[in-house]
Amino acid sequence: MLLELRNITKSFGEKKVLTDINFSAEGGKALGLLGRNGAGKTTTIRIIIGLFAADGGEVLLDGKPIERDKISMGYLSEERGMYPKIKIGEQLEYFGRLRGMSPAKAKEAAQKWLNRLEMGDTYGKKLDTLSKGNQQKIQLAATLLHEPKIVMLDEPFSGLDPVNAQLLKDVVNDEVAEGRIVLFSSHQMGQVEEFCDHIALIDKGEIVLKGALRDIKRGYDRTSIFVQANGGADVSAAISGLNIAGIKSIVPKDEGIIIKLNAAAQKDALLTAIVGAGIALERFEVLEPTLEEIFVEKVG
Amino acid sequence: MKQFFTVLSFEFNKMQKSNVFRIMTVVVLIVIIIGMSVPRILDLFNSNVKKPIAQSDKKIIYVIDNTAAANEAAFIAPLMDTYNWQSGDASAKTDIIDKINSDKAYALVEIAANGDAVLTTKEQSVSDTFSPSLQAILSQKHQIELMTQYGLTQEQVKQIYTPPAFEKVQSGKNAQSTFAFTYVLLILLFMSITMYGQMVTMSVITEKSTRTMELLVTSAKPDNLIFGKVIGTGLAGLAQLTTFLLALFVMYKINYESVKNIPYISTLFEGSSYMLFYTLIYYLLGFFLYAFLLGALGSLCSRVEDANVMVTPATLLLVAGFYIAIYGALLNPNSLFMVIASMIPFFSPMVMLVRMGMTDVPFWQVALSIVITGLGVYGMGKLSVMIYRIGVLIYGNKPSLKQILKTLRQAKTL
Repeated sequence: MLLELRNITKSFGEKKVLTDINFSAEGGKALGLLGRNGAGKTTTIRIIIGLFAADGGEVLLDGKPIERDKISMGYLSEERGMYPKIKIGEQLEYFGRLRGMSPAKAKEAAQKWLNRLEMGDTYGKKLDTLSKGNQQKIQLAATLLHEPKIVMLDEPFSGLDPVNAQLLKDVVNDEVAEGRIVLFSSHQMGQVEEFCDHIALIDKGEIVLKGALRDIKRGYDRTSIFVQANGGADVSAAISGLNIAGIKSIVPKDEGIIIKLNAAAQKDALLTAIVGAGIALERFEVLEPTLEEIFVEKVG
Repeated sequence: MKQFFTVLSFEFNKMQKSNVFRIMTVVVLIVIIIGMSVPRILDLFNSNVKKPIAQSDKKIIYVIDNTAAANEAAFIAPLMDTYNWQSGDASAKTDIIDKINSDKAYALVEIAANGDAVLTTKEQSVSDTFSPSLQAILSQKHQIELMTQYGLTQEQVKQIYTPPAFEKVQSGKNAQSTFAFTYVLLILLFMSITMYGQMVTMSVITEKSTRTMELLVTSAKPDNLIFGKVIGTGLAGLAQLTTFLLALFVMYKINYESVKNIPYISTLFEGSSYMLFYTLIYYLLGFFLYAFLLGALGSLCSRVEDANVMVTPATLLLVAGFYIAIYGALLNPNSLFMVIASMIPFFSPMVMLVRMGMTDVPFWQVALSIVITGLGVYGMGKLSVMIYRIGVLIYGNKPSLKQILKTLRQAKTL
């Protein structure tokens, strides 16, 4: 399965919200949809779902215009909420039936998902009796219980404790492993890196970066070096004193320091200078740029 | 279609299970049961009062009679037998007034030789029937005496006091007799449209303010959501109204002897069934028309607090229709103004109902009104879907009229 967005444009009145959005997402791989607040991520997702019609461009599934009546989608929006005064099992069944499940199937799926999310005992409880984090898990169950082919998760980890976050990670990994198209939107770059093979970075309604995360990272100069002296001794003053050309900054990290260079080519000169100065090294590691660094550089 | 029925049954059940709805059902049922039993309880109480009053319980009235015949007390006493009439002496007048002031006697009637009378009492109550009754009896006695003096026979006097027969016949409806029935239906219609319409608004706003809407609009089509909600709520309302009417009917039958003479209750069950049929038609048309409007307006609010201001236009239309129906029908139910008003969808359910109740409306007018209102409901349904699908995604401050119109223009492009 391949979901493609081609030249999608959208305006609200005078305001242009999306310009020529192009990206694709493959089944069995998660795509990280990134961008600052108000960049156009939610509008893009709403166009995929069909809540908004695009002014131009098209949404394709396996090369053909998407038929939303035939393909099931699940969307966990950033703004969460369900009926506070209705029993959880009842509402999950309702959402399942709205997506075309039979009453019996919907009931079975509701129970299955509640068990999967370790919430099996809440079937007959009202939603507002649960904590916020647990309410969010119920919402996730409502998003996934009809086994959608396209799953869109907007900030799925916000408000979850570490145990629940791990549970959710397992669920997302399962969804990906089952060959579904998973669109993952988050501000927590660490999580995006953990799940997503591909990213699409939107800024002010335009795609500014997209592709396989590994290729993107490779395309960036490796200008950050992690240096750790023997015994974790603080060598930042000693290295600064060497007056090596091309050092942009020195920042302490863990038991060592991160040295930022102006150009990747200067790393050999740096190593030679440190060894020449007689500083005993435990680690000298060329670091990959983090997604966060790439994000800040592109849209910061 | 399946999705529509899923929404409909969910909304119907949600309404039935909501505390507000349940409490209202129970409270109104209690009011009906108690209210319909009150006349019977009062009857039981009154039947005690109607027993002959013991002579010792009757209020004492003294008569100082200065006429030649001195037969006034004897004449009045049988005609006003709930009082204890006693002849008094002119010399005892001060004692009698003392008795009145100390509540030992009720009144003193002094009758002069020529028949002029003076009534002395301590106080006069608002609902005093004693003095007019007494005055009428004394006047009549005086007239009979004069007529007899002038030579008329007893038979002639009797003839004078026998009024000619007077009978009213009308070929059309008697507005006076159908007035109560029609107004009971009108008030029922107005109240139920307001109440259930507001429930639709609140239901939409709650879904928005709790953000359930995000999940709903991504799970179902907006037209299924709003149509299912409006019709589900409407049916729940209809079920509740039917329960109330059934309870009223059962209580009416149980307490029949006591309540049959209370016009606002008896007309509801003794009135024509064809009016009930048209009330049902206009209830459905009126409810759906206003519920679609109220649902769409609700979708534009982000918070429950915004609801009152937002639904004002709909409330004003409804109240305007109600007043046109009441006052227009009182003046002339068949005036051109009323005929036109009974064709305008927002007014027709109430105005046509009142016209039909009080006069004979040509069938073509009723049919035309139903068709136009039906088209109005269809148009409002379409419009509400347009507003709803955009409105449900708008959060923040309550939008101005300008923004709403802009929203509608945008909705057309969807």
